[in-house]
Amino acid sequence: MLKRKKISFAFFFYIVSISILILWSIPFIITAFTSLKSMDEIMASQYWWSVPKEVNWENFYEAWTTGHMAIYFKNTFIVTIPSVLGALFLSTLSAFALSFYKFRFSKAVLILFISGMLIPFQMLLVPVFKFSKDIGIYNTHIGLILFHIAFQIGFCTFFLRNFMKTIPVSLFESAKIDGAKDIRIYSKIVLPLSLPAVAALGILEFTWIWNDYLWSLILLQSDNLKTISLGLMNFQGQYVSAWNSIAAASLITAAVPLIVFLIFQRYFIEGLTVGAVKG
Amino acid sequence: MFMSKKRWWVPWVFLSVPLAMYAIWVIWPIIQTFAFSFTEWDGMTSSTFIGFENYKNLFNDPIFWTALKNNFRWLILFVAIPIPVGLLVAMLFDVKLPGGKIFKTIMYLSMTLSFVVIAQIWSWIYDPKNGALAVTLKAFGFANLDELIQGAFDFLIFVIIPVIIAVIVVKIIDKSVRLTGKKALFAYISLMALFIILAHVLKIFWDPQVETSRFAKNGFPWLSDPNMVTYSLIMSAIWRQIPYVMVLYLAGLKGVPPALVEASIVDGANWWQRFYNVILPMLKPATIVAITISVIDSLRAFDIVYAMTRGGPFNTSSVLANFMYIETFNNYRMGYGSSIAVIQFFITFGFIIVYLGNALKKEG
Repeated sequence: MLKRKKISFAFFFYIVSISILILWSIPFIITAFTSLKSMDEIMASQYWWSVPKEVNWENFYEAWTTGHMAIYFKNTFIVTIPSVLGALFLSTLSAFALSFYKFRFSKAVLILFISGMLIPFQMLLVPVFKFSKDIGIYNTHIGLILFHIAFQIGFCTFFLRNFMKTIPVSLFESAKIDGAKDIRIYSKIVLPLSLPAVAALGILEFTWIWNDYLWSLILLQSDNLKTISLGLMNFQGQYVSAWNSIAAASLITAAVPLIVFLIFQRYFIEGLTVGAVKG
Repeated sequence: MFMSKKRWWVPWVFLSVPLAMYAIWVIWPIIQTFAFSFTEWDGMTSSTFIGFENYKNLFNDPIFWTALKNNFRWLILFVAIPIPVGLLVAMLFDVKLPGGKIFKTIMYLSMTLSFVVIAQIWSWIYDPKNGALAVTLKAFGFANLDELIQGAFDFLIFVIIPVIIAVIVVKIIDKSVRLTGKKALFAYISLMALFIILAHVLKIFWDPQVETSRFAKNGFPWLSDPNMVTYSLIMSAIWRQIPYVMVLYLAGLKGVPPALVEASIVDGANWWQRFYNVILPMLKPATIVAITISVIDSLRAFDIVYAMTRGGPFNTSSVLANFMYIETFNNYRMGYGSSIAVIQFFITFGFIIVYLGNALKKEG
């Protein structure tokens, strides 16, 4: 009796979850199919999003070359990697200070970091734009990178502090008595212990900064500096009716975060939950 | 915890660089935006102080009210749909059966996409004539948006409401005559069928028509109909939000001790009691976080609106974030744009306080 119930439950589970997944993946499936078709095939059928009759890989080549995807790709890496590393490094410092020291205004600093990460971005647009122009980093990668680092410090500090709080202080009490300097405790004990959290955070930050659209739009102007989100929008604007190439370009844009997610899924999900629920 | 009166400056050394950068690019700009909102400034010539003029103009600007109304639509639907659906999906995928892990991975994929990509993908689904959504609905016999809305309305009046009445009636009968197992199931099914049939008999005499003339009668103009466009945008954003809520709930479900659930089964609780009285209270912290984050995300919505419609047609899908961007960077009204940002800030403020209170609660 119990076994039968179990089997019927499993049956129910597979039917329901597979139907949900198919429904959920339709947007992906349509994009993938469209990216593989020739324009003739798309135009020929009312059901232009159906399974492709013959596979056309040229669309990807087309998007990559005429859409200048290679440049946008390179630019996005140039912006994303230093931004992630910079934000991670600086936040380990601030999180260390806020986790293991008792000092005046420590709570105020923490509140500042948390609330800054939640405010509407529009509160920053005009002053950041003006400041970047004033000091001559408007329309440069470094300007965008510095902004990303500064802005992400809020969330990263909050995230890493939540993690560091779980490290028992007893672990380095003896080192302290032995006269170890604070910087040694940071680099030799706390930092190595925090590496899993730093990794999880790094994956999250990577996808966020890779996917950024608004700040690249505000802080970059020259076409040869633009990141991939802007590039995709440009491409779309120029080749409105070339659906197959646009679909291919969309997939190229999404490829890096998708691959990063698939490889580091565990870290990604851990990052999302530590960042939200523990807080 | 280190503390020493002599060495009070040590934590500040660690904080110096991150805090300085944060102050330059985040805190100081926030203060500046407040100041800018009282000025008139085109971004190039010098600015002039004009007091509350920007706010006065804002409150007389019809686009501001449209954007505000749309922001509230975003807010309400971003809580009303992703939270319950995310919870349901999380409950489903929490089952440990082979293949479950891959299922979850597929579910999560939409979370990794940028809104620009989502906008592109969904604009094909929303294609008014041959988009996947339009063609599917046509296959179900709806010729245009008008008929779809009438159909949904009929479904609500003549199916959903009778079912709800049936459930209430069964509950009332259950109070006097204990219904158990098969009897209860029979009562539910037969009464639901009965009420649905009765409702359809009623439909012969009373068939209300929804005022739909405002919707276009031509196909499914998801993104070009002023009354529909905001909902279409919200739906595509929700596609990305639901997996996120699901992640939060799955983490919350890990914290529910299986012993507690088993104990409730031994005590004879049915699945609904088990869910409502045992699991749901344990998920309260996850729910609070999911709601506050969804609200804050909904108020920040920009990318998808800008990439899909730029707030059009005729600003009808505009939200404050998008309105602010266009006023500031397309119309060069920096002061006016700042005042929009300030309004956005105050709307978000209450929710930020809730989040902060929740985040700092455990510190005591």
